[in-house]
Amino acid sequence: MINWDWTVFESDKVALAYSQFEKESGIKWQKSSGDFVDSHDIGLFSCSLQYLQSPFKVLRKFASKCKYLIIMRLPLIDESNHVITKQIFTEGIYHEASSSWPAWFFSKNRFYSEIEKIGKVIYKWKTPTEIIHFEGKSIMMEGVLVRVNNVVPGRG
Amino acid sequence: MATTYSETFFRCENYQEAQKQSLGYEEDSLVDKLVENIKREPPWKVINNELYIEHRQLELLSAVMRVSFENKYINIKIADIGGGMGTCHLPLEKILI
Repeated sequence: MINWDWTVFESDKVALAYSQFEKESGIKWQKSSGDFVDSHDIGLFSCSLQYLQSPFKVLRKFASKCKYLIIMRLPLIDESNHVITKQIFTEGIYHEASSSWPAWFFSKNRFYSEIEKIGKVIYKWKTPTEIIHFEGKSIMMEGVLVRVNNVVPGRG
Repeated sequence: MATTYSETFFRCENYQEAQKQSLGYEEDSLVDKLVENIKREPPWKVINNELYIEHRQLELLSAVMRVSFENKYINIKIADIGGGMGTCHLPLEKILI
């Protein structure tokens, strides 16, 4: 038996637009740009970290208020540096809206160096149902569960 | 960033260049379309009518259960950063309640 208290942190415009559904959905939306004062048991990044302008700054911000981090559906690559791309869409609602946006591919080594500053990896996994293509290679998305250190650099 | 079958990611020099070439997640036309979609077919209603678990939800369930057992949590407070419609946990609620 688990009782959930689920809050989605989204970009300002999306949080405002979706907040009209709070009552019927039971989900709360908050602006990610706002002050993040409440502590949470888990900070979840599901296919979202790679879309942030400063992903590790945001990761540290939430790590300072969460006991655990679940980071899933991550594109990790065997390069020495993170790679920034522009993502386009060939189908679905994002295609219909002609959407495109920046998306990171994280250097696996550098990503885990950042994680080591934040906490301890409990376990990792791969997501065989989500494979993306980048420069001729197939990249299987990955995930990691992290127990956050008591003292996170940049906390406070 | 669900499965892709063709090249849809194009390397850029830096974030600013990628942003300059992009339309963005906060475009009014996109946000309006997403809201229209939700009104037409609320995802929480579809999910509530049938229990179908996707692979990624099993992965999330596994991680949440690990945290729950490690701490004997009954109440779990989750910050879902960039979680869009926030529906990824709804099937899990049905399993764990």
